[in-house]
Amino acid sequence: MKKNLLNLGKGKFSQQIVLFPIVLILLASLSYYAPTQSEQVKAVSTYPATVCPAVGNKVPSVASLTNSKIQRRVINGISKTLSAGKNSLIALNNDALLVEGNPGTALTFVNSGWKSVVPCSVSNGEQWFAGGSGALTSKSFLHIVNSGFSDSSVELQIYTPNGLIEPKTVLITQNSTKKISVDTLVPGEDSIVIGVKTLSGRVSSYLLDERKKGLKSLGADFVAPVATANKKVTIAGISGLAGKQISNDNSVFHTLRLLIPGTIDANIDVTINSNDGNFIPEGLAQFNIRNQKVLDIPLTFAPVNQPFSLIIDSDQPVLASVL
Amino acid sequence: MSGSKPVLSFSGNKINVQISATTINGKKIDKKITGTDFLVWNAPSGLNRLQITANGKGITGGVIFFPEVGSIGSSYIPMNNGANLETASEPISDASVISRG
Repeated sequence: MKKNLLNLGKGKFSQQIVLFPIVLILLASLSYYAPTQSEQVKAVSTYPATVCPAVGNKVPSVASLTNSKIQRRVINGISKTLSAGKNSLIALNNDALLVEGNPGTALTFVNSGWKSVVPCSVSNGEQWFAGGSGALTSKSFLHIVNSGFSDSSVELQIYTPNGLIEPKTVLITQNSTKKISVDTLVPGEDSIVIGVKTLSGRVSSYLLDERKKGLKSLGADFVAPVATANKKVTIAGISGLAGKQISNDNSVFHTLRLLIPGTIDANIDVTINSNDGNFIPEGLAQFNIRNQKVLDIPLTFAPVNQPFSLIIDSDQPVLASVL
Repeated sequence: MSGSKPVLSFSGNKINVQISATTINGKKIDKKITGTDFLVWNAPSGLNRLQITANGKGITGGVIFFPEVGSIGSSYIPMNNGANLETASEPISDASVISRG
């Protein structure tokens, strides 16, 4: 009896010895063949929020969104939550508007004896403005909007016909707008190009170029920002002079403003396209431009009474605009 | 865009653009314009929404906003998106990532 019990115990023991590795192998197989994540990262695509500027100074602006359901909030230092409204048109007084990211482009319209339109946008870290002036008739303002909840800083690089002046760093407090008069940055300088480089924070900037004679406003428009200099620049829509602007003595004309921000001089070709055809104006084929010096070229030869476009082909990256 | 007379201009070697617009009365306008070098399309007044799709590469566009009435000047904007689609990589955190990391 004792012997049998011993045998039985031996049998149990040998069974355990066999079962244990089998269970281990099974567990290992399970963990090996268990479904695994084929990718450890996924790509997420979103549209960033944009900022619609307000001109302020008792000049009414209207932000026009593509849909009334798009969420928005005023950038006034107090408001912190986005909310949808009932209307796609939002009147702006002094404070800019933050618009939830969406595939459409919202616009800000300003009518004040002059008409001005600007797309609501966000900086990708760098915005260039080939326009504006610090001269006597200028009432140009640089609007720098910090839509984030922490202070941000930007570096202003201002180029003149004499070259780059010493960059300035500007601090913008959270959830607010800083308006800088351009004539305080470059007093008396008529031809300028301004680069706004974000050092920290979420910043959008706008340049409103207004000209005044005494108290009388001569007109204004936003200068379209450019993210980076390119070797080919197309300015697709220039209104052309019309009506009283056309004179025999060419006293009124569009101006092409150019800057080569790099350190090598450039050769450019300027082509004008209109319904009358294409042409390269005399002297603007393989035209040499010195680097880092702002150059204004009067477009006295431009078509009148019709829109036209202007194409610049350069061997160095160039920033350009037509005023 | 009501209160404005937008003029759309396009530049490119081969221009092929689809324009979809909605007026403030809800009327839809669809227009396809094609050509070479330079094209202008005078949009009607009273538009509420405007969508422009380039059917090809190398086409640049701009919009000149003239006032509907009066002569208070015009404004120009390039046809660029206010914001471009941004793509980021987001880690998928699960047990296998941790155990095999």
